[in-house]
Amino acid sequence: MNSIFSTCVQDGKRLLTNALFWVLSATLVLIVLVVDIALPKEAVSAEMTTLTWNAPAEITLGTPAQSEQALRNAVQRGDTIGLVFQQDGVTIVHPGYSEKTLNAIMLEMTRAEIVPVSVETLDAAARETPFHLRFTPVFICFEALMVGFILGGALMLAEKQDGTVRALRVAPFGAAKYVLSKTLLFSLIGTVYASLICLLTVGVSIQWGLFLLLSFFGTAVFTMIGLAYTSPFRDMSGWFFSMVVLLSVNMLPVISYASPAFTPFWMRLIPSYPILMAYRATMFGGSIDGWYTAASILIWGAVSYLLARRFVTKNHLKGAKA
Amino acid sequence: MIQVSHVFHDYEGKGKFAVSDISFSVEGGSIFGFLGPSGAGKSTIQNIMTGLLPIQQGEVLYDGKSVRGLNTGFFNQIGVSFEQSNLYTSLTGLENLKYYAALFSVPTLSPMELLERVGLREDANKRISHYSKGMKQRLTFARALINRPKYLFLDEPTSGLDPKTAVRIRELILEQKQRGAAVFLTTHSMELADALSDTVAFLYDGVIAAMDTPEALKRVYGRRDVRIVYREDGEERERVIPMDQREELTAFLANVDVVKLHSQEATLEEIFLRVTGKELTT
Repeated sequence: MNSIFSTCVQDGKRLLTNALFWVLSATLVLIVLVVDIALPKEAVSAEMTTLTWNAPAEITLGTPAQSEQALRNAVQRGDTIGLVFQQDGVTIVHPGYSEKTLNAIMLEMTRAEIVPVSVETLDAAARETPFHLRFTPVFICFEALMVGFILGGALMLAEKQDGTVRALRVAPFGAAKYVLSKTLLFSLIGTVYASLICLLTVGVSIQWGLFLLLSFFGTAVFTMIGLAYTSPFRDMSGWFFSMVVLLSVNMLPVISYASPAFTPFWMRLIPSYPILMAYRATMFGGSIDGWYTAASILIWGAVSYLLARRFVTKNHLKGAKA
Repeated sequence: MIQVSHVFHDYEGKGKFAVSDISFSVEGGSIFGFLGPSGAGKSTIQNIMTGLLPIQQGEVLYDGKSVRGLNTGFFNQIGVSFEQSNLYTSLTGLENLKYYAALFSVPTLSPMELLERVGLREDANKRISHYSKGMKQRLTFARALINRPKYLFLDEPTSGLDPKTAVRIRELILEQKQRGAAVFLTTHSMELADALSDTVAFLYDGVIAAMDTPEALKRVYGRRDVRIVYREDGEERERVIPMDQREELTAFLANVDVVKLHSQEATLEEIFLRVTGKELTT
């Protein structure tokens, strides 16, 4: 264990002189500024569609939907408000707009003498979340948690370029210790980054225990995937461009995050999906599928560790050329 | 003891061997000088011996155990000083040694003491990016000693060092021998090999061209000469006569005005040239 902690500390010192580390740190500041200053607290699309179901003939507001379910599906996809007419009034079905927006809509209803009005929100998590904070989990998941993927890879490539990997190859430091020491370092850094972004944007009222666990183990998974992925590369150029492709695939769950109605099975297999959804629940409330989240992270953790160990052994710590 | 037996290595698998039928042994408490020009196959052999290259054919044994079956723990017993210093440039000299020391699961030497021994104590807290080539070389050498290795591999350990520092490094190498380490010394420097090695092997074109103690090689392949500086027609002239041609030597000395007389023996460099037909530095 001593060797793991010691190399972790020395890698941390190496990191302080790595330009990419400071670029990522600057990005963290930028994210906080964007969320706190640039994004509005509320945003409603100017081209919002209104669908109605069971509307009386004299009501000309909106477009009639084919069925109540079709109306609900459209609302869940976003940018649509549904008006479900019943004998005793109308229900506004919305995808999670703010109270201010709903009040404006209800005022319009009252003016049109459509009363009484009730409200149904399909996205419980979005109900009380101001617009500018909604994407904080996305920023955390794809910036803070990626430090290990990017910086772990950068340190590994630096070892190849300055030849220090040859010294590691003749030291009693196997791939397991190598992977664990770097994973420990970046999991700590990723957790600190994630916590800072959360503190400076969302604030302190979140489920910190779960948030810290997600940040630590989420970064660990991505660090190990990054080490496995980087190990065959010899320099930054080829690695960087192909890494962007891989990270883009990993970002696909953002689509489901924005439009929960679109969550095909394969989306749930991407490692960032359970983490992203769990982040939203820890920050803004709502339900969390605990077993699925824990099992996904555990399985991805085990798979990424085995991959990292195998590839680091094969491509980094062995196979030296004379 | 390290035993290398009938080792062959073919990088491309096309029957073109980088090294062929290499056999030798290095006893504990001795220094084995491995000499040869660039491209002769020295690094290939060292890489096979340290497990960096897999053995294709032949065997390398450490105290009877094959390098093929050695686990990570085996590396606790070896130290390698590479010709090209491979250090973490963003760390200081002291941090580099601490980093490396932490990798071992056996007691290690104090990094500061080692820095003192190689003359880098005052530069311990300087970043490697501010070190000169010679300082990096010394640090790489110090790093190889940190675990008090039983088997020590040194690749050009005094290359680029000033004479005073080179002497200090030689003393440290001899110290390793005295404490019982088996030292495998790869070098171009015949002078260094001659001064330190108990046995030397000349590697040329992937094969060992000659191998013995330096004295035996000089006896077999070399010849002792007498260099005579004499005065003739008011000018100083020089002639070299092999010592075994005694009659010619005696006759010459009797007929000239001798100014200086030096006996000299063949250097390992000359013997290498004689054995391989090539100069070591090419």
